[in-house]
Amino acid sequence: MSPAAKDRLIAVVSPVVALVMLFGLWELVIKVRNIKELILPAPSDILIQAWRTRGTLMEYVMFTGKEAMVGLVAAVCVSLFLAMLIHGNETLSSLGAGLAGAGRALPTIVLYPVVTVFLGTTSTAVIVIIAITLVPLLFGYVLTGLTMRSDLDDLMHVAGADGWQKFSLVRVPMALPYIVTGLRTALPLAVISAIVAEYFGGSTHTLGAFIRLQAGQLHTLDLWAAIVFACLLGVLAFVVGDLLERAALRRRGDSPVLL
Amino acid sequence: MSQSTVTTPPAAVVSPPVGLAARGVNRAFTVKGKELVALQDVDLEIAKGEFVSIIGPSGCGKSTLLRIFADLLPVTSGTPVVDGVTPQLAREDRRLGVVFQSANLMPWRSVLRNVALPLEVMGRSKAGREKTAAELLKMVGLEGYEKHLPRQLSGGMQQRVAIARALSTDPKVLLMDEPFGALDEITRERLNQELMEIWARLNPTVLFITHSIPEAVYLSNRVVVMAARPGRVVEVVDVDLPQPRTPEMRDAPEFHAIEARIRHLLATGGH
Ligand SMILES: Nc1ncnc2c1ncn2[C@@H]1O[C@H](COP(=O)(O)OP(=O)(O)OP(=O)(O)O)[C@@H](O)[C@H]1O
Ligand SMILES: [Mg+2]
Repeated sequence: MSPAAKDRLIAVVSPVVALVMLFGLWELVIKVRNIKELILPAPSDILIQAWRTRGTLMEYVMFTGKEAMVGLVAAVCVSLFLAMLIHGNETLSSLGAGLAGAGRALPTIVLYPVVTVFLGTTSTAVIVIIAITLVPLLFGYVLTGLTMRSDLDDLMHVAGADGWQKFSLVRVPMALPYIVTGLRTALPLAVISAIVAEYFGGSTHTLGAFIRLQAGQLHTLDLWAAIVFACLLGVLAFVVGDLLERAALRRRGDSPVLL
Repeated sequence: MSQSTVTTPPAAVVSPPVGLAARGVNRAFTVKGKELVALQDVDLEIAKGEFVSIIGPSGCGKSTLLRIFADLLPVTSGTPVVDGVTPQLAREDRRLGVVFQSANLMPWRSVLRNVALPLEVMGRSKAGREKTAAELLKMVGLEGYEKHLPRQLSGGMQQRVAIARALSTDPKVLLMDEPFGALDEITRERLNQELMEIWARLNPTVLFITHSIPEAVYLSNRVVVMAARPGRVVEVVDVDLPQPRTPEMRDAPEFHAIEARIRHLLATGGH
């Protein structure tokens, strides 16, 4: 086995071992101390319940996942449009970059009640708040990518390139790694925003609403079962984003960008 | 208006056509409210087809002058001439090729498509530009590397690609800013030789910036020695060595004499 493969194996196996030990300990403490299911159920009971209610929960996962995807796509469109509009102007670009930075720092999810004033506690409201949360992040990445300066700009100028050629032959390919990294970062955030927004209100057929309901009625076991599926959805978003980034960047030999 | 029949003034007949010229060129930058004179009263006449190097300490305005010729930077005052016209006209007419210190290739494009880039910008057909690019790659000794990506090539090979790309539009003027500055001595000397052969074959006007005295002497018809603060031309040294240059000339006493002269000018700033 090559050293690299060994490293990869260790990277995968060690968190799995840590998790198994954690859950084992959890199981042991519950069984030994005889803790009530209402307070904290054992992992085995949670898994059994999750499996028993998998039909309903998968339905909620699909719905929440769909909201997250639509919100993400909307945010991508808005970000691309805005960044393309202003990237040519230095003043507007630095203003935009500042606003995007501030927007990322704000807990935009608290705007959800404001959104529901206009749209009601609907699925649309959830999608809108996801987009509002993601736009500062995605817009920041796209704008950074589009405003990257390089010697290639000089080269294109000497070659007599027009504005469109400079944009399509240099700007866009230069921005691509940034856009892809933005997407990778935004994917799990879209899922988190969806669940939190649903928790505050929205369609009842969603993970967030289900979690709120079960928590309110002290159905601890069902609550934990829903959490299991929420985590699975989050992990799925992470994995999809990671694969997307690898696939897009490996072809060009770029390394991922970190902002 | 004079009534006499219009004849070409005799001066225009005897003076060779202009490859590159700077006439009273000044360029200043304002840095933190302070004026910095990057170029002061630069006068330079380079005939068509001549190979001229510029050498001088860091910050003496070499790149600034090259960028003025490449129409990447306006002058504060004075007149730059490129192939008989203004830099802008020369650029728009695709008479310019540039090579920078970093090869400056598009990492996402194959070697062939990198070389073909200026032709693509010009709107040449795909088949036509790829044929030209393949021929140029052969000329710089990179036949068989057409499909490679830049990162799969060594530094010297990448710089060859950049040269092929600069030559793709068959430029009348080639501007090179320390193109071999980042290469090792052996690769540099080999590329010097290849550049000589390319120049002999295509005979463009070349302005070549370098920090290496032997490189400047080996390649050039004349060497422009500059000094800094303010950036100015100290002296233009003629290189009276026969063409074509051969590697043995590097050891000739005449070669060393010219090297010594340039070294002295650089050390004293012409005083
Ligand atoms: N865009 C700019 N803004 C402000 N100052 C500049 C700019 N470009 C160049 N300068 C200044 O002008 C002077 C000449 O710069 P230039 O790059 O032409 O030097 P150079 O001779 O090419 O040096 P090197 O050998 O290090 O490449 C330097 O002092 C530099 O700081
Ligand atoms: Mg320079």
